[in-house]
Amino acid sequence: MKKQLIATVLLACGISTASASTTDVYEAQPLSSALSHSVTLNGKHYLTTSETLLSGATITDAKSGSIYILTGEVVAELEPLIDAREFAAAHKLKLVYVRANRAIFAADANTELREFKAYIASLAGVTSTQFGIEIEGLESE
Amino acid sequence: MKTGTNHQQEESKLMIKTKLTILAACIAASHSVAVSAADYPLMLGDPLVSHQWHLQNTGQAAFSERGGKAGEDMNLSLTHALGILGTGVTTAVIDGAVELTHPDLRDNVRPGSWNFTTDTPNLEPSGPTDRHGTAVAGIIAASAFNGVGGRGIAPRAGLVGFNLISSGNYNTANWLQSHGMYSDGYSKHSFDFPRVFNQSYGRTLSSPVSFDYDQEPWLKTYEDAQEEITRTTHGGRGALFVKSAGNGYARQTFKDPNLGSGYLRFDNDNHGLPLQNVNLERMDTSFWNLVVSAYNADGQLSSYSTVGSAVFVSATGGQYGVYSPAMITTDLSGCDAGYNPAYGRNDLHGGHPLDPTCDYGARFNGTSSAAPSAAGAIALIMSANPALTWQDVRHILATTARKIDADNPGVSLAFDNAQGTTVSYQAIDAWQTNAAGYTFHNYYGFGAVDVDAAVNMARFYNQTLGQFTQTERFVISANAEIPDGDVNGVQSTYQSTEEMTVDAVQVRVNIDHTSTRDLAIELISPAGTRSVIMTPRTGTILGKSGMDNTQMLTHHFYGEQAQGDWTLRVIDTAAEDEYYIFDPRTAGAPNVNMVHRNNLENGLLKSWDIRFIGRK
Repeated sequence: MKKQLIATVLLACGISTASASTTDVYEAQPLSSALSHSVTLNGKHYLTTSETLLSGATITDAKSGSIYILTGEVVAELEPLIDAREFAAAHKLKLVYVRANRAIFAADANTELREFKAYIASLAGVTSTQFGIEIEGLESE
Repeated sequence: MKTGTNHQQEESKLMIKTKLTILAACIAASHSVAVSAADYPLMLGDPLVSHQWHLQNTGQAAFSERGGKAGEDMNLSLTHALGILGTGVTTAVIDGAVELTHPDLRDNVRPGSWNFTTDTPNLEPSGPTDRHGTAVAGIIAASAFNGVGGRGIAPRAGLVGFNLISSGNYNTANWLQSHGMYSDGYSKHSFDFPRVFNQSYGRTLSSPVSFDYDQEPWLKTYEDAQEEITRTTHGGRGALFVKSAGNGYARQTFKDPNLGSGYLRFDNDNHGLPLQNVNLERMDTSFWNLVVSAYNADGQLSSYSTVGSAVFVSATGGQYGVYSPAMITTDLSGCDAGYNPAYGRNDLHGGHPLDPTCDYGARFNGTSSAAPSAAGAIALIMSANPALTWQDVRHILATTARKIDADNPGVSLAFDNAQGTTVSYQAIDAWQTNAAGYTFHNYYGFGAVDVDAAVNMARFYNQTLGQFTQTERFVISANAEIPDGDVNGVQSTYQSTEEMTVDAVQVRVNIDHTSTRDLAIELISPAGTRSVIMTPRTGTILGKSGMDNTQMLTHHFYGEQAQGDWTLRVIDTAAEDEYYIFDPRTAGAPNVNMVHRNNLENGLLKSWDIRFIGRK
């Protein structure tokens, strides 16, 4: 009965079963197997639901299956002596964090994040940029 | 106007206080050098304190069905009797919200807390289930001698909180803010700036992940931040980041696109081996996190605690508070909030005479409890001797930790090799003593934190540890096949010329393999000490793409010398497919029979790198 139930559940889910033994068995799949788009960030391949990356977009490491959420932040390192507040005002950027030469700028909800990051990276006085991320699956232990 | 009863209570309190002051003075006079193993009675003044086994384990049941083993506790009675209670040390709780107005927390609150949800300093919980941070905070620094509830490990330490892991709050700016990288100009040298940061959070991994600054620059941002706060705050005395090891030894949740969420059930409780190894979680492999596993009131590993070579010490976490003790700590105020309504199967909950308004819980557990237990202990050590640096405190913890569960045999894995012969592999060793004389166990690190021993060492500290040093990563090309199902494995050696004393070693590996669950990885020092830095049969059921700069950390070689030959061994412990059960979380859903495929070709150890962290 249980075997029939399993087979029914698997069939209903559209799962192909393998007969490696006398029992029907299923091989675990990564969540990314349902994702169709691919992007490369810092030389690493990620799978996504859309080629457009907006704030809140989920990206899945194609190799490990680790999931990150793009927070809409771009973390920038500025050259020494640059005032981040003046820099943000001059370039109409929303500054959400500054400490020493590190500044974090937030993108608007409908801004494509790769373009936003590239724009900031192109500005004089910016030495490096990276996306702000949330690590999915973090929980109280 | 005082009532007669109140007046009598005040007189009684005063008398107790006077007696305790005399007692403390006598103890201080008679224990100026050597610490005693004797337990002193905990000072009165908090109605639940005699039930808090983690402070002093007398075998009390802590409102569960049975008690544990007397003496299996944080061993802090002398420290408290001496009046060392955490004064002058602020601790930061990076968690969900914290009820800073709780009657047992409010007196220890310091400036600096931040609510990222409301963008205000008001850290009020968002609802009746936003309770985790309040329980964590109470373990560290619930007030003492105020006539209510229980007591924290460092009951006069300061508290600030950050609700980083509340829904929607986790981003890079908030991570930095909560980990000491304040953006508002708050001085990191100020008296109230935290010296201890507690992180009772983590995640479950189903495949190995890479540790690569170029591909994932946030890793460098995090590590740089923690290094800066650790090494440069408080005039260079610094701070420590304490982190929970995780709760993934015996149970692992997994989310499948077709089956949904469920638990993985391997044969024979996964052969007795941990589903999660602490070295799977990247930030646990950072030297800047002091990772803590959990033990219970019986003085054994808590059944859930994640383990591994990156565990520094172990501390009290308990079990579940039904059959055997969990932790007694602060809970959200009121009988309709916090852990009280959710977990009724405990005698304290629901309005006990010792807690009539349900402001305390007795079912909090996890390495979420072990981390703040260690954080509170660190606050006591720093309070006992404020001149100690972050390095000194780590050294004191490693030196004074107690060898708990002394007869624990570790875990031996029996498996059929490629020839069909059953062979045995010691995947987790019993207690080992390294060449520098430090005892180590992958369950407990250097052992259970022993507050009285640590505080005694802190008070009379006279050691010079040398200049802190981190080497570059030395890359070793191996290109060696990993024979399938072969206990002999493959090995590669690096000859180090570094003249330094080791605190910790980091290794990153590049391995082609389609079943990383099979792999055990060992590092063997020039002195012959073996550290299993990755246990086999982890729950990395999606690990079909090998390991790509996967980093592991070990403290096993503490005090040994870096110079000489370091050998990495990789062993494939399975030669056949493995069958297991997927147990859906949905009530009534049937179990699903699963298979984990063995690799069809031998794996390949392509290269690895090694970095020494220590002192010159």
